[in-house]
Amino acid sequence: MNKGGVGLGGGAGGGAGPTAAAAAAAAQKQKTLLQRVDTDIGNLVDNFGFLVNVARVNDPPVRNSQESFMMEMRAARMVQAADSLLKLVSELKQTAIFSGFASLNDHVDQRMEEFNKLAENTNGRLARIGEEAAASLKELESHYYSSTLRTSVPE
Amino acid sequence: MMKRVNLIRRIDFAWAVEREDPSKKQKSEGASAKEGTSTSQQQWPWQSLVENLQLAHQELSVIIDLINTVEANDAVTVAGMTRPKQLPNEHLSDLAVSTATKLQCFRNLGKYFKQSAKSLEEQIAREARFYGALIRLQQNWKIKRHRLVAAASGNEGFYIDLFDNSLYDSAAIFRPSSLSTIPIEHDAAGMLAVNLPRKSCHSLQFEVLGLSSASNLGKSGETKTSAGGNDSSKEPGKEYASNDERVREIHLTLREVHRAIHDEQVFDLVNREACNPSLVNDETNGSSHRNTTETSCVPSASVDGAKFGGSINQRNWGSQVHLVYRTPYVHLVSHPTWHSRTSSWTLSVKIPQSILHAGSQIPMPTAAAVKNIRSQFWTRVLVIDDSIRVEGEGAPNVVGLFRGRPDSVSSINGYDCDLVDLPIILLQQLETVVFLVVLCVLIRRSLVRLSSGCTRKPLLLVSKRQRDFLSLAFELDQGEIVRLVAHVDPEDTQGCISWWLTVDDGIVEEHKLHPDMSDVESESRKFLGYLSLEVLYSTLLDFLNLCSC
Repeated sequence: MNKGGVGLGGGAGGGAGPTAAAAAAAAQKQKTLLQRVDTDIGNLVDNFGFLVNVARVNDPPVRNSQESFMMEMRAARMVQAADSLLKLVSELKQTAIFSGFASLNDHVDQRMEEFNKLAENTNGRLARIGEEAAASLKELESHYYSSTLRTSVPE
Repeated sequence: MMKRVNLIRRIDFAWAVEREDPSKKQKSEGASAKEGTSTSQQQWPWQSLVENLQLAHQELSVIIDLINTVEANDAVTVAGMTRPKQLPNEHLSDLAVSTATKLQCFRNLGKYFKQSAKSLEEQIAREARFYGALIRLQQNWKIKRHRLVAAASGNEGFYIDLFDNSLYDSAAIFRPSSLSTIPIEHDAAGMLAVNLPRKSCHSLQFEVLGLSSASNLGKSGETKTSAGGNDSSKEPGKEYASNDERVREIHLTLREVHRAIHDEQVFDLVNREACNPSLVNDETNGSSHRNTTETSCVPSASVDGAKFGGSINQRNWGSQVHLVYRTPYVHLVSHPTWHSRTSSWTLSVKIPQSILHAGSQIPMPTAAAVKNIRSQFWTRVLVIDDSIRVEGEGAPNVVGLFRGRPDSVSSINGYDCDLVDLPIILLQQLETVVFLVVLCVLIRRSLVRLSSGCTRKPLLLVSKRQRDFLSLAFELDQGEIVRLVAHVDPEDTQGCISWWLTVDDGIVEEHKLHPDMSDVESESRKFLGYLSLEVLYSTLLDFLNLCSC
């Protein structure tokens, strides 16, 4: 169910034992993501450069209109690159949710602490209640056995 | 070729000529137009459009032919083309126009960029809120993701898994509740929303038969019938509520669902217990049901141990309560142990002071020792898991009693027994104690009488202990044996320990002492009843007086 995790540290290097495949997969995934980031940012930069270059006004107006169409196209490409970067960011967030083991472990530890404290409190309270109940029980028993209900034989 | 020249000659430039004399034409046209319109109203309204199109078509075909001919360079050739030299202002205006066009283009681009930037920012903010809420939820709940569902629907396929395995035995039926998974969706504002299934009602309340007061074993939650999305549409102000509050509300909702699931599981367990009454005792049917339900409501992993311990404890309790209730000199002291699989009780027998004091009026050197007889003897029952241990004082050391050393009075027997034997064993312990204490006092008394000079004494033969009766036998002068038999019967409704007096020849066999056949009184057996300790003591005294002197 969980997404494959991206290794938190650097590349896998030599992951030994049963995690070698997992480490290799994680490194591969990391490389892919970095590649995507590079592509997108390259797109942005290139298209913006073209826009700036083409800003010169030419004599035959034909070229101007041609350039205007091209400029629109480049602008669209830039926006698309930005969008894909955002998608990348949300993918990373999802990965962090499902495979961010450090934070998951922290959460689990925190909850364990809370529950342990709660359990201790409850145990303490139960013990106190128990002691009070035992004391009352002893008292009641002594009263009962010395009362008139018992001094006459219950036949 | 001649045809084409003729065609060219036929090009009608009449329209140009007409344009030069507009004034002449308008008058005549005006006159004819009125006539034309009056007649054309009856005709088709698109007629003028059709005529214009036909004229245009004609002119276009003429020009195309001309161009073709010029291209072919047959009859007509282009002499030369010159463009008049542009005046500087024309040049500048051309430049201005193209600059303006370019500028316009850039402005459009700028607008486009701003728009997309705004929408991207909104998307960022939305996702940040969504994922922030999701991360906060993840601190407390299990969040999972369906890949396939994500591909199918527009949502991203997140859901919260509330299935709880801790109350199920391995043999139990595996039935996850319909509420186990809760999907997370984007609501109208793009924020995280939790959609409860419709018409989910979360209150459980039921009574246990046989009890006067209703015991609410299930907690009731609120009744929710609408999904989260509806709420946000009803209260538009809620969309502006802070993220924290939303997350808190979602936490509350999830907690309620979790509690409802847990109650459902408990209810299932209780139902199963009620339908398979394997742990229910016959005598205490009502209270046992409650006991098993109470013990099985413990939501712990050791529910098996609790159930079993509960059943054992409750059976013990049943037997002990009978014993204590029916026998007037037995006291039950319970020691609560706060461990569900252990319980311990103490049965104590208290010797009435009258018996003890009666012996203390003797002016003897052992008088002081009498005061040292303890007036209470105890038996302790300890139940751990399924083993029962009974400890009690055994035979008081008679010699020690006389010597007045209270510390070496009695030894302690301890042994483990089964559940079936428990009532009998408890009664046996009691019997031993009662019997022997009374015996000691009696012996002391008889010794006193001896020392005061009475010659005859009953000879104490034997005290036998069988499975369910004790007998104390005295031999009389004529060889007759008088027995005092105590029969213990846990199921006796009037009292657990009944006393019989039998007289026989001394050759009686043991099985005849067994009071099975024995509700019958005969000449040799007399039923004495359920005696309290004082009555027993005085009976024995009278008996001894009768026998001895």
